[in-house]
Amino acid sequence: MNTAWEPVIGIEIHVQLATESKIFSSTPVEFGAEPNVRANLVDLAMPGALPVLNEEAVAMAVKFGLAIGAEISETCIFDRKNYFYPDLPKGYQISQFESPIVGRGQLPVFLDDGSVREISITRAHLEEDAGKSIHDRFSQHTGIDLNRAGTPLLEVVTEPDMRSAAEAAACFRQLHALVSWLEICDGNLAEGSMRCDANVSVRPAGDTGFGERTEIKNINSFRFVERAVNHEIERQIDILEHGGEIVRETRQYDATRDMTFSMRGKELSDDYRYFPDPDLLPLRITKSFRDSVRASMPELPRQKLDRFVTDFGIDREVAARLTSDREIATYFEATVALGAAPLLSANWILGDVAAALNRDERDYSDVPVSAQQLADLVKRLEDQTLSSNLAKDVFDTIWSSDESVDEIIDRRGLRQLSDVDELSDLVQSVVTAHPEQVEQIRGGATKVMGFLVGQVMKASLGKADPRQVNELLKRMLNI
Amino acid sequence: MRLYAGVQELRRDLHERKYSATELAQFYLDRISAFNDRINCFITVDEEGCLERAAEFDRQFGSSTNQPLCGIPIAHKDLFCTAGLPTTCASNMLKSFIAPYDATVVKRTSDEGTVSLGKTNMDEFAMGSSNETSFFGPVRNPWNPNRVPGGSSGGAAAAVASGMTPLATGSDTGGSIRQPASLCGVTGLKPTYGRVSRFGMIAFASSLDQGGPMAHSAVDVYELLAAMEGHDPFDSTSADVSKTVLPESNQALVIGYPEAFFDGLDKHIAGCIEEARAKFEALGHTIKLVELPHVEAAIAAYYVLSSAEASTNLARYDGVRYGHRAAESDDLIDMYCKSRTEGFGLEVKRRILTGTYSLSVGYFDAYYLKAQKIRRLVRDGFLAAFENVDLILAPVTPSPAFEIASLNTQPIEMYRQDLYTIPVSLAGLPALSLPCGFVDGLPVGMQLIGPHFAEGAVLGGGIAFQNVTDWHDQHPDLEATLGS
Amino acid sequence: MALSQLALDTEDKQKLSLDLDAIIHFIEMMSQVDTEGVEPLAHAVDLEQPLREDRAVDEIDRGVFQSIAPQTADGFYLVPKVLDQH
Repeated sequence: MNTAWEPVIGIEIHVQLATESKIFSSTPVEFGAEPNVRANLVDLAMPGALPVLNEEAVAMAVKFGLAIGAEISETCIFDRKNYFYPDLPKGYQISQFESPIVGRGQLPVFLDDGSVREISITRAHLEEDAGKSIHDRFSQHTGIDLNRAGTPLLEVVTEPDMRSAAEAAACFRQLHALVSWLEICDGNLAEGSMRCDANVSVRPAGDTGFGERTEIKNINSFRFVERAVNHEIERQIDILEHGGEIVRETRQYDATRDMTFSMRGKELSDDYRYFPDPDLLPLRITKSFRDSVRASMPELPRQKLDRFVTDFGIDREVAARLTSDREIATYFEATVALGAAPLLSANWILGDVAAALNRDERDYSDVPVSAQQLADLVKRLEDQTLSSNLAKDVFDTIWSSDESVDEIIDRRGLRQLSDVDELSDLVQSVVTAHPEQVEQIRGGATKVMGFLVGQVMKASLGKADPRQVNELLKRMLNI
Repeated sequence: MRLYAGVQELRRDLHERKYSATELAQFYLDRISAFNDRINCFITVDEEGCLERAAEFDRQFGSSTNQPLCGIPIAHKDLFCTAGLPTTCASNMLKSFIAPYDATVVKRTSDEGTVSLGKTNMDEFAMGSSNETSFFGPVRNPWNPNRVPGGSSGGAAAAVASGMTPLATGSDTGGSIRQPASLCGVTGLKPTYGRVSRFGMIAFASSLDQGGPMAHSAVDVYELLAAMEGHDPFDSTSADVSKTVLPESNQALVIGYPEAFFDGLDKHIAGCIEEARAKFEALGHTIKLVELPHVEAAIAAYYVLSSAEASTNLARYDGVRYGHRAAESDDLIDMYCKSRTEGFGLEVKRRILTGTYSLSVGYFDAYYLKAQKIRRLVRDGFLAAFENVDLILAPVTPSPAFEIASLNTQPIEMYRQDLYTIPVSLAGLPALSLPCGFVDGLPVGMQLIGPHFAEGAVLGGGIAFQNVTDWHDQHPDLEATLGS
Repeated sequence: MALSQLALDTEDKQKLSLDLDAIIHFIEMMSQVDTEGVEPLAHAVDLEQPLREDRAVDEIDRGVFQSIAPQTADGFYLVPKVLDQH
């Protein structure tokens, strides 16, 4: 990365809300149906058809607002955004322009280096999705499928708070975790349930002003966000270093060619003539509505974080990572509820479990080790039935098996050798078998101790506790 | 069978089997086939559907029915969607459009037992005050075929006035029920905004459009309103209020008289309204002068708001899912432009352009927002007046029916025809237009305006007036004016 | 004109531009009204947006809807090819 330039990035995420029916009609929301079988009178903009707002979409937006500590509008308005496009049946999109339902809030974003950044959410508003234009199916025509038209979206807009592509991707990932946590979105990126637009500009390092920006539209994976933004940063730096100027425009990321390209000409107009939709009335969100939404919400990440710190005495940072994703938190709580020690459980979940998931490209929603298995493993470590080495061994086994931890321990005879007499016998026989090394140690070459410990461990088939072996050896050799 | 019979008489005769529903429907169909070619008030006559449904009622009459309008014919303005029957909005854009559903108004009136004769002519997309903007040609005034019937519900008014239907639905955005009712000598009500569902009523200006009843008398208007009104979960702007109830007879009312409305009014019309005022006083009501501000500016504000809303309401007519599509086009944009240019008439284009302009960046504040502010002043002016009066009595039109083609090239003069109806529309109030005299052999009407949702009081006033006058019982002699 | 997707012929254009001048002049009349401190009014009756219970109703008959469409194929609505793709 060229350090003479600092990237400035803000993102907009379209979150498809997981309602049964569309935002302004009773059509079922369904992905992958036959074209136009999920488009009724209202979705097709038949003459005389009118919109009626879905209560659940409003409740979900309020949920999101409460989760990021934002102000919820007491009264908000729906506007028409006017432009002609064949997959926009009314010739306008119903959206919110001047009075979004959710105001300013905060989102803690966990970065890969373990640090946390507070990203400001500017606003979030409700709107309807457009349909789909299919360009490659017919030779002379574009096909229009309006199944998606009217699907409820929550558009979340961040401040330009991010300074790298990795941060932008992390922010997208964090929003994904939050909306999944709240169960307001199915989080299925492949089906377009969350789409990211990134606004990118660069400025000379140290400057506080903003450079001209471009917008990359419709990126639908975390990885692509990072790649697309990096490409755009490089492209802009390259232009600026060659004396060029950045043109404000909309660009699209092509994942197969791994590049962004200009979408100039796609927009038919940029004067959207926003005005309040006269088919809809001001939406009032009463305190009692807010309260009932609040009551239906799961415990929020920050509440859980505080509780983990107080109840389990674990570090804030560890608690923060445990609560960065609802699946992690749920897994952790289930494990602890089965009697496993909290700190040790947390270390396993964020350590070995995370590494294994990463290796297998899975996520916490399908950890193959059940909370029961993990809890038993942690308990056997705690009561010293298992050595830490053997615990890792057992973990590898339960990763691909439903067998209980105790069964594995018994079947493979892995119970830690903690009987002092038995262990002493082993140590004695190793000392007898290696007089040369014993001499070296007595002569001051303490490094050779490791060799003897290793021999004892080997003789115990790994079941001895290395610390205990070390103690016994020292005592036996009088050092 | 008596021409111009009212609902109560028709209901009684049907129950007493003086004639069957089929005979009644046939009576009106005959009247339509005798005169519609010269009045042009129907775009579609549904002879087959109408007779089928009437026959169905005739079979049912044996078992008692409690549908209040059972077997009574009705005509729907051609902007109410009717499943299986064309709904054209009097536009080339929709000339072969068959709606896949019934408007709430159509469904409710049908559920109450009405028998639909067909769809009435109107100004294209309800934009006009003379019924000359219809793609299907102008409607003629049954009192004088060289005169306009008013608009946009000109077909409905002319159909009622010429005895082709006892009941008709209309819609009123800036006067589209009241003005044609006045020019044709029939009674029509613009209900409070939100009283009647807009679902399935093709939109002109969503914040102003309101469906309403037209008939021979205020009593019949009430009968039809009862069938049309009520909360509709498919229309967000539909009000959840109780049904209209007529007041106990002869409560003494205070009736407001807006002096400003009488400046520049045709003195013969002013004379008719003076007489009506005297009648109200004789009925025991008190007249009180009221001030209503910004009447002139209200027309401009109305024009901006209604055109702005119309410009985006009509964006859906893009030739993709229904409606007119140009036969040949080079590309998508060309398809849009040609389809819309061919599909819409001049007045509709005029309003789309005005509306688009007033919503554009740079003009929005000076036009659209300014108009919304004036709208508040106008509405608040009425609300203040209703602090002191129960109803307001006002003229409907500045002149009697004007000659066909006399104003259709002067848009501003045409818009001024709605001077007295527009402020009421901006304020969302209920207003009844009812006949109160004749000028040069042409009927003129007056408005009774009430507070929001006071349809009962407005209709009560109209019924009391019609009990002591017979203006509403005078009808044109079609045979004499048109020849039979 | 572009925003409204209308392509007017010369005669209409001439007629409409004269009209529009007159109409603009006419609506300028609004500037005479003092609206200082007045809130815009969108609807005359003070009603609030009702909310619909989130219940899906599956009663869509594509065949009926598409029987009135200018051009369809395989369930899609067809429009002239959109050429703004890369």
